[in-house]
Amino acid sequence: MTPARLIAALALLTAALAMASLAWDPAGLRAVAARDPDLARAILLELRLPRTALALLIGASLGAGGAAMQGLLRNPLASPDVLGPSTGAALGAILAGYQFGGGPLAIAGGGITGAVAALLLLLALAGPAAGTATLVLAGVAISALAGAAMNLALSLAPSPYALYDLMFWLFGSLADRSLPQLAIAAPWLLLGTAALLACRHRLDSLALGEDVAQSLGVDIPRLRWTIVIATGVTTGAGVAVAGSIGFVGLIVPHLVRPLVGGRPGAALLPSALAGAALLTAADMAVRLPIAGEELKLGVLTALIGAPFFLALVLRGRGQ
Amino acid sequence: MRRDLGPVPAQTTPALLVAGGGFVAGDKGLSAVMLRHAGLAEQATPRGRVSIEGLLLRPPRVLVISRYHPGETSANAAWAEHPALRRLPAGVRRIATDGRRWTCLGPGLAPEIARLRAALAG
Repeated sequence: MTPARLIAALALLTAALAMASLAWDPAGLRAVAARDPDLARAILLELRLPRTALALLIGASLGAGGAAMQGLLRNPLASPDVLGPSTGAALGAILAGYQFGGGPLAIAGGGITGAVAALLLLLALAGPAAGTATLVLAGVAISALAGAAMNLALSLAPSPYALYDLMFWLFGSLADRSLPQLAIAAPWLLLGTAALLACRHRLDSLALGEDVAQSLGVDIPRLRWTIVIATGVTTGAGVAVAGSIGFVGLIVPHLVRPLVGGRPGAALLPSALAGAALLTAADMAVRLPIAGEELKLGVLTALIGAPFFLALVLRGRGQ
Repeated sequence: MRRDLGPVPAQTTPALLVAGGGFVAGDKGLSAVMLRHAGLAEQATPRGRVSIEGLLLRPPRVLVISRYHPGETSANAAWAEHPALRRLPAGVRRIATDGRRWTCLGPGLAPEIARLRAALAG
């Protein structure tokens, strides 16, 4: 399959899933529209539209961020949701909102700051060309530190509801998101994802080695900063409105790369589309009750992603 | 406390006591028993939670919203401020209740029940 056909197929799949998400329970929606068209319109525009749009944008940014990080660090386990930026973003958002009493914009800003700080710490600890073991260890350390700080911040928050929110920050959810939340997160998600996609040719050059890339005119420090900042921005904005949603950024590039000849740059756009499709599908799956309970989105992505992660580790060990 | 609680009225109105995040009291717990003294019958809700879409599609006659430390940030409190809740039908009666009283379900709840009963009658 040519890259163009792959992108077209993924775009069609994503569009179909988005329509299905908006039209969830079509019989019920038609019944509401028949008795109260204004209410049906409100449900579509004020509840389902932000939910679906955030699934698409956050999924796309996680997919592109994972592909970019794996290309930059030349490591198959690099991704924003596994190596600390997600937990860092949640910590930043919690501090901004619960401790300093900031509003939604401040929470988004805190999320972005936390994610970027976690990524910078990861690079400082592991180095830009770290081996898998070092990278994973550094990521686990950062996640553990940020996770402990998150617990502490929520425990000491003025609101007694704060600790109940831990489930949301750890497992993520797109349920009952609002248009104002979409308006806050969408610009950062779009800008950050666009910045990542703009790195595709330079990432392909970097795959040939740093010396070759430099001889082709790639400014490697600038590329590194662009990917770190853009991934931090998208991770922070996504976590600020939806909590931590894990493993999408890890799985999707691995599914896509074999279809684009293993080129990290060529994998960026298909990874973004596949991430959008995966998260939208997962968000529909969590609306199906299991034993009467609705799963959190991050639980479902972890159930899919954790075995995949283990398989990658075992495959790496075998090599 | 018995005076404030009053007898359970012969006729009760279907209601939903909802806290932040869409958590509901449930129709079989102590909160439901207390609500009956205010003339409200808590609806059975699967999974102990309602989504905003669920509230809009199947609105209760009376919605009792538990407010706990208003003005302090939490995702659960933000749920109660969701713009879509404006779309509840005009016929749904909305009454705010002090969430602190419902946390411990002790004697402090009785005056709140009396207040709810008066608000419903008014």
